[in-house]
Amino acid sequence: MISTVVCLLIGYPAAYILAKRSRARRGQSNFWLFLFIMPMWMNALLRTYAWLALLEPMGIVNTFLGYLGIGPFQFIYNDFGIGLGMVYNYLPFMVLPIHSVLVKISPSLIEAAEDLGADSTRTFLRVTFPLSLPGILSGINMVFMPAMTTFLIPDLLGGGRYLLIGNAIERQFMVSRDMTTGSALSILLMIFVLASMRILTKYEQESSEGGLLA
Amino acid sequence: MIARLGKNIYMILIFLFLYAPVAVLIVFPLIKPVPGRSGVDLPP
Repeated sequence: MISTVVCLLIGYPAAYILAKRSRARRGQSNFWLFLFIMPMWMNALLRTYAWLALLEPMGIVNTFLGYLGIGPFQFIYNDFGIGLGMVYNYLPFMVLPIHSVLVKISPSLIEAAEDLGADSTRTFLRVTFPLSLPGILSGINMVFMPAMTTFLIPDLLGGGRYLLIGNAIERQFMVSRDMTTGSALSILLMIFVLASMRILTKYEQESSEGGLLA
Repeated sequence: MIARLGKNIYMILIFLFLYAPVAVLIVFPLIKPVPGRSGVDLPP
């Protein structure tokens, strides 16, 4: 949940800037978007191991901070490490749907708001943000579901000390060999995921029908 | 002017965040193995 909120807080401004550039210079923004997606072509496990190398107590970041006379800090094997890993892995899933919605907003709507005397903040709050709500909801959907079911990132960056539902299921199957409990937990998780999807789809329909705009 | 600078710095930070592990993965094979950490000097 926290990683979804952080993804939204970091991803929305990034998507907004990319969309603005896309409207100003059509070809160049596609390049920036391409740069945004490119790290995701690499395997998630490899990238998570790279974060381990960066953030471990004798890692690259702590060595660099040591030269400056700061630290060492404990970046991994705690909540911060897990949050960072999740935000890193799922950030593009938040940015892409928001960007695709923001790009489609007609510039004439923003011009009309400005003509009617709205400043840039008011235009954003009353026009751009409500129109981008379907993208935000899709982004939340795309980040929240995998973030809830992940077990690899908490295992590596949390040092196996954090038990998320994904880890609990993995341990039931791989360690305890208790497939019955593992299956029961999986079904519970599936019900929770489906319920979350249903709620989000309902809000998405409402916002596309103008329910949230009114 | 300041807003434009802020946007550029924000995007640079995001790309730094996205590409830091990728850079590590590219640079790691080029670094000399550290004794005791790489496993290459372990007894048979």
